[in-house]
Amino acid sequence: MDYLIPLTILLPLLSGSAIFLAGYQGRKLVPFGVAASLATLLLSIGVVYATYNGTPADPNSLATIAPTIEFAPTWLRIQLPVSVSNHPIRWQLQFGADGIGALMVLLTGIVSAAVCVFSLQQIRDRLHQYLGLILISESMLMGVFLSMDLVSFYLFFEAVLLPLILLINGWGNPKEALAASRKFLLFTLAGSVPMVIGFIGIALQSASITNPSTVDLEVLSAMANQQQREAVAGGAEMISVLATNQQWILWLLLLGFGIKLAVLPLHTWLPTTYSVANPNTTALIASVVAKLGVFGIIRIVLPLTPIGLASEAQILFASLGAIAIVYGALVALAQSDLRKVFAYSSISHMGFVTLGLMSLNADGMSGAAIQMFNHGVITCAMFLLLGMMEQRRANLTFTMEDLGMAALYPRISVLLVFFTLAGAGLPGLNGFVGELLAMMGMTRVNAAIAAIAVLGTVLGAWYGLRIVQRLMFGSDGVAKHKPAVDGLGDCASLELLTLASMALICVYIGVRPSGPMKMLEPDIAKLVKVTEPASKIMHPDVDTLAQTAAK
Amino acid sequence: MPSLFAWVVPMAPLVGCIICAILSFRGDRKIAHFPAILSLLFAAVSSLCLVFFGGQGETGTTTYEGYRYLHVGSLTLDISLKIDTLCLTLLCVVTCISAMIAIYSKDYMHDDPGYARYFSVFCGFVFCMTMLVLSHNLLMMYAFWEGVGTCSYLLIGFWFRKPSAARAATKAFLVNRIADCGFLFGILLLGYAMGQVAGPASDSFFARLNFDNIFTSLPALASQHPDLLVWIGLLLMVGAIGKSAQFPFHVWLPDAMEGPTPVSALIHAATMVTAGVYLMARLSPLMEYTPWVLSVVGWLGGLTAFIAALMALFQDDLKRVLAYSTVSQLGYLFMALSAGSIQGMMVAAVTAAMFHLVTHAFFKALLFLAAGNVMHAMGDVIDMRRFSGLKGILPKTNLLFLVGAAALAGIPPLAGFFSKDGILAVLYLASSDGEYGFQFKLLLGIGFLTAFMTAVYTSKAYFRTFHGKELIPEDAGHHAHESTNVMLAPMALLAVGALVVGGALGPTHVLADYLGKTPALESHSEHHESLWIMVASAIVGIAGCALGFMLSKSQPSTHTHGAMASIADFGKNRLYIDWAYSRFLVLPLEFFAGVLGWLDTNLVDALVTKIADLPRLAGLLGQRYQNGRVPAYTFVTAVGVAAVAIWIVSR
Repeated sequence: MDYLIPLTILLPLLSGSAIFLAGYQGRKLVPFGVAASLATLLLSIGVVYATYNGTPADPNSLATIAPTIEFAPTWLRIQLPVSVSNHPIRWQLQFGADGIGALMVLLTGIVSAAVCVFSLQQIRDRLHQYLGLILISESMLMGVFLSMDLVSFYLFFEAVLLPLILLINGWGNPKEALAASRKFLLFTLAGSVPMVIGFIGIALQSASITNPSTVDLEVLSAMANQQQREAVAGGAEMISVLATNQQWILWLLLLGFGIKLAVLPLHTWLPTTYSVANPNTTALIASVVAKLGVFGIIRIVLPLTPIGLASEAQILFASLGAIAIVYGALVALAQSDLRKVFAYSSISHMGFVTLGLMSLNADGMSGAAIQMFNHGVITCAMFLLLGMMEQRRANLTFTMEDLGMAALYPRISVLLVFFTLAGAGLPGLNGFVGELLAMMGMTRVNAAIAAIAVLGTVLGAWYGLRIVQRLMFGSDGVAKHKPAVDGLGDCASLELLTLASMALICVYIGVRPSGPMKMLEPDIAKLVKVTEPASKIMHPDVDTLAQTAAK
Repeated sequence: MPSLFAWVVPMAPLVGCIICAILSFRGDRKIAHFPAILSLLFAAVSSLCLVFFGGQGETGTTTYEGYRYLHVGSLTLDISLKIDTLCLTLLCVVTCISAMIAIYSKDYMHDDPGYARYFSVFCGFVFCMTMLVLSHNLLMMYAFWEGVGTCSYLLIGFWFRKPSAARAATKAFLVNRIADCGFLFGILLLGYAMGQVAGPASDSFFARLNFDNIFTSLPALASQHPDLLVWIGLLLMVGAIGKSAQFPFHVWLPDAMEGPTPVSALIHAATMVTAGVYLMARLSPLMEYTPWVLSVVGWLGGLTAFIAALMALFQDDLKRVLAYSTVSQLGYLFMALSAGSIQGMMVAAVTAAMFHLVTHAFFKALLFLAAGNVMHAMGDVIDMRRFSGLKGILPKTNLLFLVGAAALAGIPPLAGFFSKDGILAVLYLASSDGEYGFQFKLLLGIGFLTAFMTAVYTSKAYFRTFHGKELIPEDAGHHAHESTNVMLAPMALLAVGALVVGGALGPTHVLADYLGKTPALESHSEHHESLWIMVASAIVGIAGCALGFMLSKSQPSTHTHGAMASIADFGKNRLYIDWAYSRFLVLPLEFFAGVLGWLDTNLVDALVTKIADLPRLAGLLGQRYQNGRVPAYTFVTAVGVAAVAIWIVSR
């Protein structure tokens, strides 16, 4: 059990590297790769189980991040060749999982396993290399979600780009892949440079209190909480000093995470990348990699710079999120490339996550956290379905009318209708829970922004149902049938099994969200201890649960 | 015991839905009706048992605990069932009529390849509808509100190979979704407002959106945030008029007739479309604080009742006549509800609306099923220009349609007469009020006018279809025949309902007294009747039928001159409202979306990419000076040295 966390990171890394490095021999290892992804899925379920049953952190502690399970051996220590005021800098690297992290680990496990299973049908050449790279990126993603200090977080956050670039380039649309992957790389690097400066800033600021400086998120979050309490006790001047201290770090971090999150107007890497990469690859990028920005905000921005966030960026980012919901949906309507429709819909849905995060209260943040998972599952299924449809119909576009694929491929169409409705936020399916909580949280902060977001639910249903109507319905399909790959029937039973189990997850979370919510609850409750007071200080008219806080 | 019955009502259809869904995947088509009908009968019997054993309990309202759905932050939501007489009334209508229509569907859908899929979604609809009716929480109601909308979407688009059906389904879902936006935002605002009320409401374990909690906090809310409450009322009303297809959201309902006819009978005539009325009735304690909203409801209802009747007059499609008639009758219900804006009349208004809702459910379902028989016999032709004089071929259907049509037209002593009369009486009573008196005088006029038009189009449709020269379209082939007994038997039951329900529930005050057991609807006023309204509405009904009979004799082409022609043209084209929407709402929005899409690539992306070019541009700037020419370097060095020297000297 102690080695669960390193195993979850290392198993996909080692098996992926083995397949990738084996060269031609790797072709025989394809079943091994799929098995490794399934084993990782089991490990991630193990992480969830261990977190769920782990000893909860002391609710009275100051720390707003507290892993329930931990892996922090002393040999994982970096000693820098510099010292600050005669104290050598030693950074202890550590890994651990709290509820939010464990949920994301589970999402990574599910999505990677689904992508590996689907790649058997979807990827026609160099399948073994593809599987190897998927496994390596899975390992890096696991690393991000499991790291509990700034250094390893940053290392994994950057390292995931490497296999992804190869995946986009190697299996994407050959004409545009190079340009698109360069754009992806430049955008994300442009984000990560400010981000790393922000990290250094956090570490340096911590040095003024704890000597030597630390990168441990638990310690840092306790420190931020302590600082905030002292500032609140010290009055308005102290608060503004603290806010100024946090602000420059905050903007650097938000720039970095915002680009990953595809916040307006820094979102343009996303449609390009999604439309060029193979839909199978996009399923991984859209459902997990795009969540890295959100996860970074939850893990680092919210607990470490709450006052700075509340003082300026909160309303700005909330507005950007609300605009992204409407803007993304409208732009999606105007596309003709089906992949771009899905890409902009992703931007639109991530708006709800931003909205929830920026409400800084328990409703919104738990909505954002659960929506990360929900949107991951839904969007992964949507891109996998898109890949299947593209194989079954050449030159598929959004502007086609009355294609009638439902008559030919009933299984695919049932699944598409299901996931479209889940994405449109139908109550009883998972999309509803996150969106509702995000909007509810935002209503308590700023009702006007929430009103814009509510409009987005109509537009979201509009493009979603239009896809169904144009591609699935309207004719018996035979006359307009022109397969891109011959001899493919309705989706195979392995694929059906994969998607059906994802659909079951959607139904489960939609019908009984208190189960997964129980995992998130302690973490959110800790975060709220710093974020809600911060939001209340900066915006005195927000609706907070004052009486509960007093109890 | 009532707890068991209460849970059986929604759960039996859910089980039926799941079994049928499994059957549809396995392709076992022939037996799917069996679990569906059985589960719906279970639900119907249980809901009748609830009425019989008094499921509402001693205090008039009982909540049957289910499970905790979610408790996060300010949100506490349980899935529990709240039972009072208001909900039991609608519950019985929903379950009984759905059971009968399911029996009817067994033969109607017999040869359809989607037989099991049909019954699966059908049961899913009944599950969502019963849960909607039984909701104890506004948010839970919203959830199942969306659920019935989705089932409606799936059933309208049931024959998905037809492009028109696919489009109608999308349109219905989207128009409903626009209205639901208002509903959802109203709920969010209400949750926020409840948190502002001092006391237990700002506690996190307080279920802010439970109906009971809303009602107890209302006085405080109304005194502290009166403006916010009006907004909330208005937004919730938008949701109600969307689902009940009132102007400006009425456009989806006539198109929804693309679905199978039993579905039109159940969802788009008897049950789902009345959910809006139910919502308003359920929230009547809230609406009492916002009379202005109720007044808006009245205007919209009156307008809808009138224009829908006008459109119904000029339709040639039998099902569409019935669809517009449904829209018009729902407008009637909203007119009745709006009388609640007058102090002390809320109970009378809700009672009148619920009474007409019940009777309308019976006779409109009957009419739709009769139209289904016609369609079945005519080979799916429903255009009244292509058949006539069917009374010889369909004698029993003729009789059943006649009963339904007479009830709709308000011929005494059928159900429609009593309930329509009840609404007119309430409107008359309201018209003596000072502040809103003028509005209700006008609405009373619209009520009479609409009643007259209803009688006209109903009798016109009846006589055109069943009387006159016998004409059968060639699509019917040689086997145009009366429907089977399995189809006729449930219709006969509905016909009995249409005959007696009005007289049994209305003049005897059975329904009014029953509804009075609900705490919010405790009746403390005596019952009003005015004889002249009763006589007048009977005369209007009979006169309308006579005019309809005369109109059915004349060929449609005879009134092609003058003002009549232009009105007919207007009515045929749905008053150009659909056209205006697509022209002035959808097209501009799509154009705007196109502009945004263009800007996204050519402005936002281009700009961001240009920023990425900045380092290269900076490099180009410096490139000029790295030209490798020694004289230039020497010159620059010399200038630099000179500058430094001057600076040092001048220091």
